[in-house]
Amino acid sequence: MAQWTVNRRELIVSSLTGALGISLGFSLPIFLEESQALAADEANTLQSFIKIYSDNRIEVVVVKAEMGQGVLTSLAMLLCEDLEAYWPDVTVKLEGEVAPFLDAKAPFGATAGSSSVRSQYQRLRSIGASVRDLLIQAAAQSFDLVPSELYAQDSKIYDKSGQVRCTFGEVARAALYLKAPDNPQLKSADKFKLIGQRIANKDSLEKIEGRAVYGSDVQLPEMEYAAVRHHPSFGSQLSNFSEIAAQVAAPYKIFELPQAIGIVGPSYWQGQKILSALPAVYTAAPEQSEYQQAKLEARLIEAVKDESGDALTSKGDALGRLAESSEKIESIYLVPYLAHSPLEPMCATADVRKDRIDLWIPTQGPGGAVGAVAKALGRDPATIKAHVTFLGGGFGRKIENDAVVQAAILSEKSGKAVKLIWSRQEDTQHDVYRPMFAARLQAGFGAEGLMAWTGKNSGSSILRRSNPKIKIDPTGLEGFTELPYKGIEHLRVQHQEVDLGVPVGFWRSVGRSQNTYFTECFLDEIAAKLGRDPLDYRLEILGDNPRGRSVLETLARVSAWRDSPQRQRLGLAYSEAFGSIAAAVAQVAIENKKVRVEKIFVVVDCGRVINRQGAEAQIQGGAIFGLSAALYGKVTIKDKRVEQSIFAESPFLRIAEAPEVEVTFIDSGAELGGLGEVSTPLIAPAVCNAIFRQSQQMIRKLPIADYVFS
Amino acid sequence: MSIDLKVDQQNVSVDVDAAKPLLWVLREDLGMQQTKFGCGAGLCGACTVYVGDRTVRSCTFPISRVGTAEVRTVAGIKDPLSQALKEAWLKHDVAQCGYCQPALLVSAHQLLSKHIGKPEAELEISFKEISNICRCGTYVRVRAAMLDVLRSSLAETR
Repeated sequence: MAQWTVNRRELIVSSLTGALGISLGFSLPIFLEESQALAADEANTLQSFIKIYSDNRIEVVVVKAEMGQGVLTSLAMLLCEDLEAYWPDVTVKLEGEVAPFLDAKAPFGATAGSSSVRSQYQRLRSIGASVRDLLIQAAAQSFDLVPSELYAQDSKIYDKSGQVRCTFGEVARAALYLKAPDNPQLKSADKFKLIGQRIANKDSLEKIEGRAVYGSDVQLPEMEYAAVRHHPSFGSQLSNFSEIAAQVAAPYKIFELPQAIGIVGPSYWQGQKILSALPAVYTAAPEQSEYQQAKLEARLIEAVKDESGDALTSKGDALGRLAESSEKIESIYLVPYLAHSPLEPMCATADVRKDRIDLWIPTQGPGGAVGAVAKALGRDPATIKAHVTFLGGGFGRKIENDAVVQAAILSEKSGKAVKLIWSRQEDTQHDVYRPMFAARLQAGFGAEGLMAWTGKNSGSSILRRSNPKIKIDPTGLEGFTELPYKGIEHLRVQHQEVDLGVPVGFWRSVGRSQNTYFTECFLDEIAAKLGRDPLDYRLEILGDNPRGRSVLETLARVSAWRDSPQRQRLGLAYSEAFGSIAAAVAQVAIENKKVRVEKIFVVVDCGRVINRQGAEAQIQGGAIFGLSAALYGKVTIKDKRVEQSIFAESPFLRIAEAPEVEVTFIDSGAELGGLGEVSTPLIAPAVCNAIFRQSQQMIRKLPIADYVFS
Repeated sequence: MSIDLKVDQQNVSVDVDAAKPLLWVLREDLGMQQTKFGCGAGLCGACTVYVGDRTVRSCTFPISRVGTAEVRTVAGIKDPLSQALKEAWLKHDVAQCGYCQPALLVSAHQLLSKHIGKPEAELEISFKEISNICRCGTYVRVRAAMLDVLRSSLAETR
C-alpha cells in the first residue's frame, strides 16, 4: 500500500471562527477511482475537518454518504488513532455541504464498492499523525523543549517524565503558524488503541431518537412538497396531460417531467392524493406485449444455450476435455430482477434560483447529482451546491440521480423550493433493478474427477446506460469469469449481453449477487456428483491459497461442519470479492413444506478489522439482506411494467424469521478488504446448497419461496 | 377541520382534513420529523407511534380517529423502560442507517411492556408481533437488545 505524504495542500490549517481553536481541513475524496483522484490532488475540493477547540473538545467532520455502514465512526477512528485523541470526547458530524463543482476539474464523487475505509486507511492515519506532530511542535515551542522530549496521549501532551504539560486545545492556536511535518511517524499495530476494537457508532443516539436528518426530513422556509407519478410501462407516453392538468385546482400545480408527471403544493399527502386520482391515459410502450416475464426469461435461457461466440476466459482445453468426458452435468440457473427498496424511498429537495441551485440529497454520489442537475437544467455546475443528508438505506439505489433531477425541474418550474418524495409504489415500480440473469454451467467428469468447467451467463448491462460505447460490461462478469479455484485447470466462460428493456442498476454486491449463486451452487452439484464433501472439495481445488484455506478451516470449526449433529442441514458458499475472502454456512430446516434458515455462520478475512463492532454489523446486515432476497426477492414484468408495488406483493424478511448470524474475523494482516457487500452474495448459494444436501433438489431459480418442498 | 391534539406531552391544535393520516399531521403540520414515511400502507412500520396505550401505523391512521388519546412518538416515550431500551440499543450498537429505528423503538417498547417479568421464551415467541421492516438487517441485534432489557428487568425484580 502506498505511503501518503501529507503536504500543505492536503492539510489546510485555519482558525476556528467563533471559538478559540484550530480547524484542520483536508480533502476526503469520495471517488470510485480513488487512486486516480488522489494523483490530481488539486481536484479535491471536498473538505473534511478535524476541529480542536480550546476546551479540548475534538470534532471530526466527515463528508461521506452515511447509509448504515458506520463510516463516520470508522473514518474518525482512523484519524484519531495516531492523533492520540481521547476518544470518549471526540464527536463526529456529517457535514452538510459538498461543492465539488466549484472546481470545474473535480471528478464525480461516490460512496460505492465497499471502498470507504480501505481506500482511506493509510491516508487518514497520516493526517492524524501530522496533526499530532503539529500540536507537539507547538507545545515544544511554548515550553522551550524539543519535540522529541514530548509525546501525545488522550488529547494531552506529556513530557518524558510522564507529566502532563498541556492539552491539545491549549496549544491548538499556536499550531496555526507551524508547518505540517512531511513524514509523520505512524504507530505500530501492537500500540493501537482504537483500530481493531469494538467501538460503538458515535451517531447512534441521534438516529434512534429521530434527530438525524435524512433526505425526507429536510425542512426549508417557504418550502413546498412534490410527488411524482411515472408512466407505468417503460417507454409509454401520457396522452391527456392538458385534460388532467385542468382538473388540478390551485394551490396545487402539475408539471410534465421526462417519463412522469409531478405535482407541487403545500402538502405531500394532499398532492399525492390528487395525483393518484387523476385519470391519466397512457399510450402503450413500443412492442409492449413482447415484454412479459416468461418471454424475457426465455430470451435469457436461449442466450445462455447459444454456445457460439468467443470465450471471455479460457484456460486449458475445456471444450476438448468436455467432449472426452465420460459423464457430464449441465445446469441452467436464473435469478429475477430485484428492487433495492431502501426504507426511505427516493427523495430530494431542490431550491432552484436564477443564479444558484441548492440541493439536499440522501445520495451516494453528490458529484454525479450536481452534474445531472446541471445538464438537465442547462446550468453551470459551479453554481450548484449539494448538501448531503443521512441516507435511509442506499444499497446502490441512491447513487442514481432520477429523483434529484425531478426535484430540480419541479423547483424551477414552480419557482419554489421543493421537497420531492416518491411513494412506495413509485419506488418499487421505477427502480433500476438488479438485472435478471441466467447462467448455463456444464462440467465433465472422467478418471481424474472433474475434467472441465464451461459456463455462460446472460443479462442486461448496468453500465451501458452511462457509457453506451462500453464493449463488455464487467459488472456482469464479476465472480463468473474468474473463479477462485486454481485447481480447475480447464475452464471456458462466455457472456452475452441482452437488452430486455427494463432499467437495471447497482444492487448491493452488483454482479456477484447473481454470479456467486450460479458458481457456488454448481460447485456443490459437482461435489455431489463426485461424492465429495463440499468443504473438503473446495479445499482441494483452492490450490496454493493459505488465506482461503484458513477461512474455510475456520468456518468448518465454528459451524461444526464435520461433526455437528445437524451437518446434513448445512450448506456452504465461498468467495473472494471486494478485496476480502469470505465464506458462509447456512443451517436450514425444511418444515411444513417450507424452508427455515436457523443459523448463518460467516467467516471473513478482510486483512485487518478497523471497528469490530461495525464490521460485524455490516456482515450480519449484509447476510440478512442477502437472505431476504434469496427467500422472497423478485420483481416481475407484465406488459413492460413492474407487477409489484408495495411491500404486500414483495415481502421482506421480518424480525422473528431472521436467523442468528455468527461472524468470525481472521486478522491476516493482508491488505484491507471491503465489508459492506461481502456477505450478501454468499447467502443464496449457502441456503440452496443446504437444501440440496438434504433434499437432493437444487434450487436453480430464485426466489426460494416460490417452491413447495415435500 | 380544527383538531386539538396532545402529542409528546404538548397540547397542539391543527386545522387539517379529517382524513389526513396522523403521520402527515406530525411531519407536515407539526414539523416533527422523527416518525418516518416508509410505505404509506401500514406495512413497513417506519411510522409506528403510540395512540393512547396501543401502537398504530400512523401513515394509515386518520387524524380524526385520534380523539382524546395522547400521541407519543419515540421522543415522547419517557419512562424507565424507554431509557433501558435506548441504553441497550447503544450497547448493542443496533442502528445502521437508522431510518426505521425510532419507530422500531416504539414497537419494541410496546411489546416489552407486556413482557416485563415474564420468561424470555415468551418474548422470543412474540417477536413475530413486530413486523417492522429493517432493510439494513439489524434484526439480530434488535432481538439481543430486547432480551437484554428483559433480563435486566428480571434481575431487578428479584
